[in-house]
Amino acid sequence: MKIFLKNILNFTLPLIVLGVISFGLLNFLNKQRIDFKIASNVSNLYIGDSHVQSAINDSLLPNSFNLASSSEAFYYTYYKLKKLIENNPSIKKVYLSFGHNSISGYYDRFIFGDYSSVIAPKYFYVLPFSEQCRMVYWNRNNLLTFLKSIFKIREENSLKFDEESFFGGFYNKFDTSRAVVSTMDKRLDVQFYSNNELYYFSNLNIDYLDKMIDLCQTKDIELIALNTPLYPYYHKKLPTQYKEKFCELINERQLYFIDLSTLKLSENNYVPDGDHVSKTGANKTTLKLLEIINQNIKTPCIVNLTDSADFKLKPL
Amino acid sequence: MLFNSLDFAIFLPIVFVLYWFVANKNLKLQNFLIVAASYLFYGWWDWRFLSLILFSSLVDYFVGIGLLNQQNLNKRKILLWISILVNLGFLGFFKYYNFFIDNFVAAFTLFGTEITVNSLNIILPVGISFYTFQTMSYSIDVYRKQLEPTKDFIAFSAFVSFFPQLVAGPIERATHLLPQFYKERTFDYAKAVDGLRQILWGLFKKIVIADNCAEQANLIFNNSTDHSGSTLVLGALFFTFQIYGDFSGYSDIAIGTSRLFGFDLMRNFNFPYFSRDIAEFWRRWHISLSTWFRDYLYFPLGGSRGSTWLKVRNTFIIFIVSGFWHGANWTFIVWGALNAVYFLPLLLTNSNRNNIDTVAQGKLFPSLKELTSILLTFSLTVFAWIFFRAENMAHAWQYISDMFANPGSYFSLSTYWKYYSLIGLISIFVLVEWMGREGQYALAHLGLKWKKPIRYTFYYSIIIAIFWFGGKEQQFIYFQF
Repeated sequence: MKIFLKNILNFTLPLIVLGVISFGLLNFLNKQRIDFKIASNVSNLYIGDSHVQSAINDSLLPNSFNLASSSEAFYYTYYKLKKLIENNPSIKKVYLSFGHNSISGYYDRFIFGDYSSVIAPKYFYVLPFSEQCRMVYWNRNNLLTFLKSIFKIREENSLKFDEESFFGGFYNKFDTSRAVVSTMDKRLDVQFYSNNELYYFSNLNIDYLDKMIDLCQTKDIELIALNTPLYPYYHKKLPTQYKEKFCELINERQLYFIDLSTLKLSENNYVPDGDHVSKTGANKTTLKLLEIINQNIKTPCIVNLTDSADFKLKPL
Repeated sequence: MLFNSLDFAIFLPIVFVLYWFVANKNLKLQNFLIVAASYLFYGWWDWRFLSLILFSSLVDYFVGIGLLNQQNLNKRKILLWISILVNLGFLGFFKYYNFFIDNFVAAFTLFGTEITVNSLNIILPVGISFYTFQTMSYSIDVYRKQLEPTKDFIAFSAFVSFFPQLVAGPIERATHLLPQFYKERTFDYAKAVDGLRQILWGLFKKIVIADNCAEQANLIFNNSTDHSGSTLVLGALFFTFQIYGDFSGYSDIAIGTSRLFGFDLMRNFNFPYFSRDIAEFWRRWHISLSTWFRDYLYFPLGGSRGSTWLKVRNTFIIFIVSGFWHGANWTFIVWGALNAVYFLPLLLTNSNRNNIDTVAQGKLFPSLKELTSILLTFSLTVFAWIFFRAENMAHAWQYISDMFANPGSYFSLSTYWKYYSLIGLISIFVLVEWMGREGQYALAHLGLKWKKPIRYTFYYSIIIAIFWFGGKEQQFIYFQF
């Protein structure tokens, strides 16, 4: 038995050493490659998921930089924001993409679910070591795919926080499009329902929202929650529980909130899923936002239950 | 708990150390540890269904004791039927209830009578088809007086729930596995190393071959109307390797893991895709299930003795039941029936036992005749798998008709090029399997005589390939059966 264990150790040791060295080296090199510096005149940072990424054209806003990125859960945003704040003292205001979907369990799938190996690798090297270990543990059921995706971060992916960043930036490829009911139904189903039951609230992402609030308070930075335009049909069909929870979070935390979800845009200013805007829609949204910022309007979050959907969507 | 998960990678060494260091030299403690580990292994998926295993174990244990003390034939029969009804009752309810209800309603609708019976939202307990068959084999063997019933409930529970083979086999016979729980087990170095090699090969089959094939096969089968004939052929081919890599990979891991604990499980696969006829294929594919049906269904029905009509009837029964065992869907039944059709000419011409030995034994290459037979048998198998994989019969027919709609596309090299990496992996896999086809599994003898550095490089290459070329993790197909 002792010989067996000794031989097992002898056989696996080179592999373990190789794995640890490769991982250590990769971790070190990739952390070095990430440059968190952004232009020194940027005082307004836009961050979060695809809603802000596609709706806020930062070229129309003074001293602003949009670094929001598709499918970015609050968990990732927190660590990204932390590094950005540490490296850029010019940041004074942070506009956080905050929609009803941000608190859905659906977003956990990008951290430890079926989409994690697609989204997580690019943030992996932004995370501190303890969180890296936590991510590995969370992804233990798809460990090989997950580890492989971390190892396979390609050289050509820019790890800089600049306009062509791998970590986000204003991006909208929809020139002509419109909201489509069937696509919106599918979108709502994916975001808020799992097996025809309402998704749980993501406590993980809510915790990280609180961490972002604390971080900004500590650094004397104003955090503004920003909800981007939603097509009326999509808005109407949002589950009531999510509307209530969303406002509860904003009001309890006394967050500065800019609500553009009910902004009236024309039909062709949306994309088929109903919760993103087209390129023209983005320009209109950005100009409206600029107007609100200039007027310094603070909006309370009010749950409008009169236009709420039934508890459940019809099965697709 | 999945064999290809981190949970299992932690679980296995802990149980191994406890088994050989803490419980060593204490048979009862070792058996108890196996039961505890097995229940933990199963409960990791859903602890509520542990009650089914426990109940099934209790029923069959007491049926065994009852059969020991009972000489009256009628009462013995009653006891046997209790075991069969309880086990098949579980299986029938969890696996087939909705199928029968839906078909019952459909049949009435066909005759113009509308009836309303609601289907139930039933979760199928993982591995139920495997452990119920295993416990039934115990009761039947005890009834037939081929096996002395056990009075050791812990050993019996360990036999029913033995974690390496609990959820997807091999379906062990009580006559083979149960006595191993009575014997003192000492650590056998050679056996353990062989077990590790078999686990390694099983992981390669599952993670590199099956999981990669699954990704492509799922894409093709789920959108079959969007693809050309050549892509559909590739889809069927990928599924053929997916199901083999998945299931035989699982069996290899199960057998290898058992060997680490000093147990020998029966062989479940014997390089079935190198078979020269369908009869040989069925002697090499899912051997534990085929022999189960042979011993407990085919032989009692009369087997291949009797009139031609009886032979035909028995052949169809065993293949259709075997298909139905896989799931409550007409596609499985048709898959079974199709295999019966393939098998029948061999049976009727008494040529079903022509190919008993290993193909091209001791040679590097097969003869032209052998190669042709292998390719023909393989093609028939690939065709039958389309029914097995299809969502329903309409999907299967659509898939087949689309596959043959435009044979010109078969010559489009660009289609094959699109899948070059997967085709390359499959080719390497087939080559290694061919080289190792005379062993229990491909790596059993392959490379053993090589110098240590070369052998280690070979094993390291497999491990690195598992990491680098592994596909997206997929559930083992046979868990759903």
